[in-house]
Amino acid sequence: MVEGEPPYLNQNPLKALYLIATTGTPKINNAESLSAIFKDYLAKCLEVDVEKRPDAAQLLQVNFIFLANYCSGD
Amino acid sequence: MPHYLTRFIYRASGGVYTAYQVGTNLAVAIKQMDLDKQPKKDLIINEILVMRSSRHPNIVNYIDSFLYKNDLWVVMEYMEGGSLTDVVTANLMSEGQIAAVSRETAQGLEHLHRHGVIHRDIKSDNVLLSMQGDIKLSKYWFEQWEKFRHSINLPADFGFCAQISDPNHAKRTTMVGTPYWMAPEVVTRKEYGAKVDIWSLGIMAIGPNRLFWFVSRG
Repeated sequence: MVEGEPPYLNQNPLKALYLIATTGTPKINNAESLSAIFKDYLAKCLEVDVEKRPDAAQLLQVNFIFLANYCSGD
Repeated sequence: MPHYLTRFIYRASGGVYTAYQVGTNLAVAIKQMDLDKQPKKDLIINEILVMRSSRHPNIVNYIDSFLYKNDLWVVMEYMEGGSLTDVVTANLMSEGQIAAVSRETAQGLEHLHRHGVIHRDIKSDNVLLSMQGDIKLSKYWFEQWEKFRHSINLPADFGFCAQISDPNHAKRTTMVGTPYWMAPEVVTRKEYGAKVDIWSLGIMAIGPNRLFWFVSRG
């Protein structure tokens, strides 16, 4: 959702599967343009270690989620 | 269907109609099913009971059903705003807006997971919007349907979901979903649980073009 760009579906799905398995957490392009709490949210969701990744209830307590309260009208 | 005498009804496809509820003006989708052609009538009843008992503001909900002559008519919420994919391909979203979508979808997931349902296909195509600003998950799928997915006509267009009897312990290994959104533990065929949906939520927040980067350069 950070940027809206053309679909990626023309990429080879098998290559994608290989990269997900070998790369783990994807690197974020232009990460410096994102706020620290957004990067924190992405890091938590995209944690390869399932034990460390939050469940849905824990995710709702992450700081980034509370940013939703300040977004009306922007 | 007396409650749904509609001011507008439109046949979309395959026995699915859209209509507006009289009085509330709520947009609904109505699916017509010929029960004579359904081999697993008991499963359909079971599914309706599960849907009826697990409503939530952040999932596309079951509303009602009617038996008329030999047809079953199932009424579901209809999301007139289209999918999140339409929004992300046409707009740049602010972090606050992304946070709002993330919160709503995470609330829907928390509800599904609490009811033992793993969605397994979280992506922007399956996040739908209403004209009132509601954000809802669609295509969740209850376990009892899964093995009949190709042989019966479902009441709702749910997909790729697993209901597990004990959410804390049950694990699955089937590789299901859409490649770019899959968690590593799904891809590597390890046992996985409800947290695969959390990974996909993170991929959704990044968005298609960043995935493109991820896929093309690793």
